[in-house]
Amino acid sequence: MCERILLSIGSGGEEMQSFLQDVVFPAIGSEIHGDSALIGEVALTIDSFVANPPVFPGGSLGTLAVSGSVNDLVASGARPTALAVSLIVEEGTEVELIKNVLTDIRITSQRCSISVVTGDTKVVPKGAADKLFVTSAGIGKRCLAFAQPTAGDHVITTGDLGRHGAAMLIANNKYQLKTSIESDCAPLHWLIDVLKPFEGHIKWMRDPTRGGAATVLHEFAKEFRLGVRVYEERLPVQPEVRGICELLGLEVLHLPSEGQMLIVCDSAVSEDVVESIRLHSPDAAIIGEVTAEHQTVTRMVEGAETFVPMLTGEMLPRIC
Amino acid sequence: MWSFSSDSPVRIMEVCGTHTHELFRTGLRFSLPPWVKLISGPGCPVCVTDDRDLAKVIMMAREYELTVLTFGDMLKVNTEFGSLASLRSEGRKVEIVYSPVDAVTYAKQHPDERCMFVSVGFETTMPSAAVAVKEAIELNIGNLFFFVNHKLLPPALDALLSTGDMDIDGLILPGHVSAIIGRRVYEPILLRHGMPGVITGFTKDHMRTGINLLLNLVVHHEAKVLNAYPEVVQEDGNPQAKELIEKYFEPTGAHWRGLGFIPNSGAKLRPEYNHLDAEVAFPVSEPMVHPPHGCRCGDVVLGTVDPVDCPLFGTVCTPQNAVGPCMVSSEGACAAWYKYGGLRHV
Amino acid sequence: MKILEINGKKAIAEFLNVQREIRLDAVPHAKVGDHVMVHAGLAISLISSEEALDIQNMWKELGEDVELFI
Repeated sequence: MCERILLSIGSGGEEMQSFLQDVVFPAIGSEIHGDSALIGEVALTIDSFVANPPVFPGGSLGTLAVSGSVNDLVASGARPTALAVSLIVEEGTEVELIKNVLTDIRITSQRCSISVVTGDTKVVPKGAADKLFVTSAGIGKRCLAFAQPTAGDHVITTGDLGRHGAAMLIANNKYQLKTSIESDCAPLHWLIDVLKPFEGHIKWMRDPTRGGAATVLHEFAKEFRLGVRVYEERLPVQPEVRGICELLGLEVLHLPSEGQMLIVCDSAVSEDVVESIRLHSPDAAIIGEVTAEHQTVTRMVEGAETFVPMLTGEMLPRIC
Repeated sequence: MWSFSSDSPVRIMEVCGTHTHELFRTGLRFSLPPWVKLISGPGCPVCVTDDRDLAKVIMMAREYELTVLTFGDMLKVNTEFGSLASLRSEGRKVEIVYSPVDAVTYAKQHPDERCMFVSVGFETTMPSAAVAVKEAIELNIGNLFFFVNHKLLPPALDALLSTGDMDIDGLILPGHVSAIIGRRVYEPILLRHGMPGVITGFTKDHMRTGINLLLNLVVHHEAKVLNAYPEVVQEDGNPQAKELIEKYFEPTGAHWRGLGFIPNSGAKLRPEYNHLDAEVAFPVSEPMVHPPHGCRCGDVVLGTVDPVDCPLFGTVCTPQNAVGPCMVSSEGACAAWYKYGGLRHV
Repeated sequence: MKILEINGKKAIAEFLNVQREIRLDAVPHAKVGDHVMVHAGLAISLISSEEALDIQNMWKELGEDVELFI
């Protein structure tokens, strides 16, 4: 482990895992798993949000903050009930930006009928933060229990993958690419009600944010000592997202989504589950299955099966 | 007519790192007959960049407080003097660009920073780097300097084939490099060594066609150089691109990881552009570097050992904690083996 | 990438609805609508669709007993 924090630790891939194991868990004295915790029937989550730029096509730090916490609660089977939001603002930041972000927080939380019940604001000297950092904590009530996953279960996505990551690569204009995609960032508060009738058949859920679908599927495979096989031709991915991946040499399964959930469920109900989700999100699809292959994530492309690597390092364009 | 088996297989080398990566990613590697063994060659620019050159970049950036601009794969390569990523964590600016021309734009927008573009890559990236030099001159950009460390493929192939212990039956030649240099240039080198070669592109279909053609040449003992990528690669390459290269760069001796020093196998700025040469503007003493203990990147680049034969592979050396550049670069053979390796046939 | 518009030595090119400015210094005869191979922001080759057919001829050149191994 290096003595200084490198940016790659924040990419959510393997470096983050080592950082948690080597630094965080020993120092904090306990192992923390999952994006939210259950304390009795109450689910608790907390997340920090940084985005460059803070307002982007399809949303802002505000939309992200609400969606992120709501989706983490939903992933643990909880119905979100309240949020707390805290801002760290860099000296000199335009008030207009803060207003826009707060408005998005209000609109997004109204969409899922929850309210922001408390908050905090700190201002730091110019240069000590990049315009605005938002932290949001959420609580929810547990109302969906998960069954034990087994080989043969199906893997579902609620919608197209990688769009938030692609939209941010466009919005920060680092590589001067232009296209018209918007971030998918949105709360999935409705998902609990959609899945409730299938309780007992739902095995696992996770929102594929930082590190993308590949990372959360690896986490699933590790946690349950199972494998996952996804089918390339079944992955819902917008052409623009594919285009960005091709041009920059990126793996689409490493790009984050901020408004999707990956769900593992019994194969007997998977088609019905997808049909119910499609009433809210038309691109939902069964993208793969759980295998008995120990802790491996693979992808079928034209009859050949290859590993899906976890993200390592920062997501950077490949030039040979 | 021919007899190959999995005990004495046909050994074909994919010279280019992108082929290595795509052969794994598309799964084509796993559909090869058992009597064919693929060997990854030296065609990953990051992997063959010598430690001392990267160490120099880091020393220059520290000493002269430079903003470093380069391609993404260079960021994590570790030397005894640190990596570009660790340089950034110390507070120096390190910017990743998609195109060398973007480095000119960056320098123009940041006139108060002294910028150094670290220009690596084979013939493919050289015309683009040449356009950046041209643009920097035309726009009279005073704060951008070029650390030119390009590598030339034909002299390296010649050196590779001349080392006695190479046991290779055929070469899969890179599509993009060949788009610049053409097909004909390979002929004298490969034919001298009785070596068949096929230029091919990077889709699964391209690679399948290219490998089929190459295997036909190999089993019939025909030392020919075929172009299986004619929609992109011309007989003599791209004359305008070659002109750009010749106008701004000239050949020089270069250190290659694994291959050592090869005369005329690198490129540097022509002396008339000395005022843009980072090594002239920011002199540093020649750094002493020692290759990481136990690392066999040099042999992997030569194709004499597979990545799994390295004692560090997968244990000490992994993509998130890479010892050698073949594991760091996403084009590197070790990274491809680690990420996709050991997979079954389907 | 497909060239959408040309402005001197610069052009806007598109791939799967994604656009980027590229340089045409090495393909001076490129026209709007042409497909080019782009590397590091520079078009390095005009892609000709007819020549893909030349592959067929190459098989013939190798003789009758060409085998498909994969």
